Amino acid sequence: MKKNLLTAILTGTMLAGMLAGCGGGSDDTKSDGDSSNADGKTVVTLWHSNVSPEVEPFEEMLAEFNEQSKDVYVETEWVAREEQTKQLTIGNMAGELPDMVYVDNPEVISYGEMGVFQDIKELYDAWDENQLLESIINSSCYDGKMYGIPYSCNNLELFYNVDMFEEAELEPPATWDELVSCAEALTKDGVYGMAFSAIKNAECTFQFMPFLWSAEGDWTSMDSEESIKAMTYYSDFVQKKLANKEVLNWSQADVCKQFGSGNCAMMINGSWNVGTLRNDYSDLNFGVVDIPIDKVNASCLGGESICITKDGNAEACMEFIEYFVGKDISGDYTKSISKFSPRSDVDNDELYGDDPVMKTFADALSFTYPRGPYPKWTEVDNAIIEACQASLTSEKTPEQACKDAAATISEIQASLDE
Amino acid sequence: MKRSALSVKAKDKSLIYGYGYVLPALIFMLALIGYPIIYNIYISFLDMTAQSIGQGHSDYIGLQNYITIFQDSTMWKALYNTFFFTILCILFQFMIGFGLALFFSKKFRAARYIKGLLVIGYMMPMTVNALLWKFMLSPSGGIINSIMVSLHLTDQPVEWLMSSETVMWGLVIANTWVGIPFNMLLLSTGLDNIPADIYESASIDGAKSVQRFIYITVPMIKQSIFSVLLLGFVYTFKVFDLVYVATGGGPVDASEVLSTYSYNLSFKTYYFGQGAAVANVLFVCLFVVALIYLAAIGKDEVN
Repeated sequence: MKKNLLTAILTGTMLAGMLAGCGGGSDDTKSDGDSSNADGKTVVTLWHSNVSPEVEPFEEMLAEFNEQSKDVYVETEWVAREEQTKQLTIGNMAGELPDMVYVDNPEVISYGEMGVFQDIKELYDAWDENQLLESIINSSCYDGKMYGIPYSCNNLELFYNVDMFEEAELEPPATWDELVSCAEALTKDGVYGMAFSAIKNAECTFQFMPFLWSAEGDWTSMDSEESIKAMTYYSDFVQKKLANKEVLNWSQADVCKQFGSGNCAMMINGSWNVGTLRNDYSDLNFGVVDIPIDKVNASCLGGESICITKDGNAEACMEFIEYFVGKDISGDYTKSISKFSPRSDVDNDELYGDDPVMKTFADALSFTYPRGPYPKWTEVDNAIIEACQASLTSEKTPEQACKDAAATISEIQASLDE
Repeated sequence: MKRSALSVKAKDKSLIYGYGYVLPALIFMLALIGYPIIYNIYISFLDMTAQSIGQGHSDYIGLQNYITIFQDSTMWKALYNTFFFTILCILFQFMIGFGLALFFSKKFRAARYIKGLLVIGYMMPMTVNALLWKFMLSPSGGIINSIMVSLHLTDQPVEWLMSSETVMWGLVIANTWVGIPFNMLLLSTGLDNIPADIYESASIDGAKSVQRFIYITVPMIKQSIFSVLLLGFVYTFKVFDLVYVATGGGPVDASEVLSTYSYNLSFKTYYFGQGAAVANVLFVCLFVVALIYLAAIGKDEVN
């Protein structure tokens, strides 16, 4: 009996503890945009996903905003980048969303069409500093609606190991043929000429798109001759052993580590790796050129938009966004986190005059295109990833892989038309 | 007369006490386990997608989600992979774990310490294990391949996680390593509870070590073996983190298991109804195993 009583008490205490734990958790999320703090400012919440070294510049910028704003105070909650979409989905179902969120650009339209974000076209049009690059703002627009404002962007270029190139007396490649011959010359002694990320997630598509677009193929016509040509060219790097087959399991960060450690002579990667390479591999002598081309220059747009959720306080959020993406802050702020401003009035020559590597990336923004924008992009994304991985593992010929992807994509379109 | 009335009253009272003690656990089960399961079954009959959540209502579509998933070849692959993974993992984990448990039941000096060290694998977070094995199975410089090549077991490094033929084996190896200490611990607890004098009298009667093992050890720890196999089955069958981190279900869909497939449907492409349907298939499989276990335990207790 005594033992039973003890068990009951213990169970009761544990249960109470758990309930208290749950209660504590739910206090942290503020779903209503109308709360105000002690200074009488409207408090809005932002879910962000900054990681080191982006955190300090962000906190500095945020503190300055909160200091100077008369009406608005922005509070932040950190959500891991991989968790963003899951948290948004759950938040939407549970009715617990912040006022605004960072969202990876290919996801903006999906969630916008889902009704999670407000259409902020009118607010954007009314903003006097709305000079953003057309191709970049397009990533957040669909069907005449606008679901977010890009605040920072990045794109892909080709990194090359200068020492390896000098030793082999090679010039950095500019065309597809040159890229292959460089890779052939540099693949030896356990070093692979080329590297890219083909991991089974969005990074795979992100890195494949420049090849696809350069051959003048597109995701809307995966079975075209041009698209098949791009897929063949891309998968041949692994087939001919010019790239390690492990690219199938390498994230972009892994690719950067491989390049930094001298295991590959060239890699496709984004601007945010420049800082990593300079900090973690300070002995490495690397250069950056535009991704070699077949017919046209192309790079893929990465980066995030800032979106206002359906019940968010749009006016208060816009004050922050106008500051954050405004002329005075955007250029320097994005530079400080090794990314680029979406603004068309940023002077790259002035901003990156002392840094030719970053200037190469900045200049490439003029031929950087978004994925989609398409409400079911994640499904299209899956189809393209499958095609890439199937060609890289020789499970299918590039031609078959592309045709299967095209068939899947047309099914997705059909389901959207319904 | 009076005496029996009193005992009935006491019985009632203890019954109330009994239910009272069960109540918190029952509420806990209903709220945190029962509700999600029932809600999951409910949404598997709805056409719940990103769009339908946006519009605020999802249509009832009967069994359409189940029909759709079973028409998809990925589902069959995931089902096959899940069983393949579970059965092989359990087999290896159990055999090696049992072997080690027997080994450490010989009370030699360092036994306790080595046993402690072996448990490290089990204590590490699964994501760390996944990353660790991703490195160890790597064809370029991974230790497993280095050993295999230097022992001339293979000429070319095996592309464990990169090829659709070997990827499931790679995952089985990684998971077996994690599962061994778990099996070993539970089984050696069982072994410790066998009184030594039974063995003594058996050997006086002339039982050889194989006979002692088959007729004493195994029957005496039958309960432990049952629980190890059941728990092992449940843990292994619902594998997620290992696969998600090590391969993401790839290459293409070669290592897709039910849990990752369900996750992809729900959180990558937002077909919540279909994702729920896959999760329910997983649930039914585990439920059947649990029923078999309960039946076996029940029969055992009656005997």
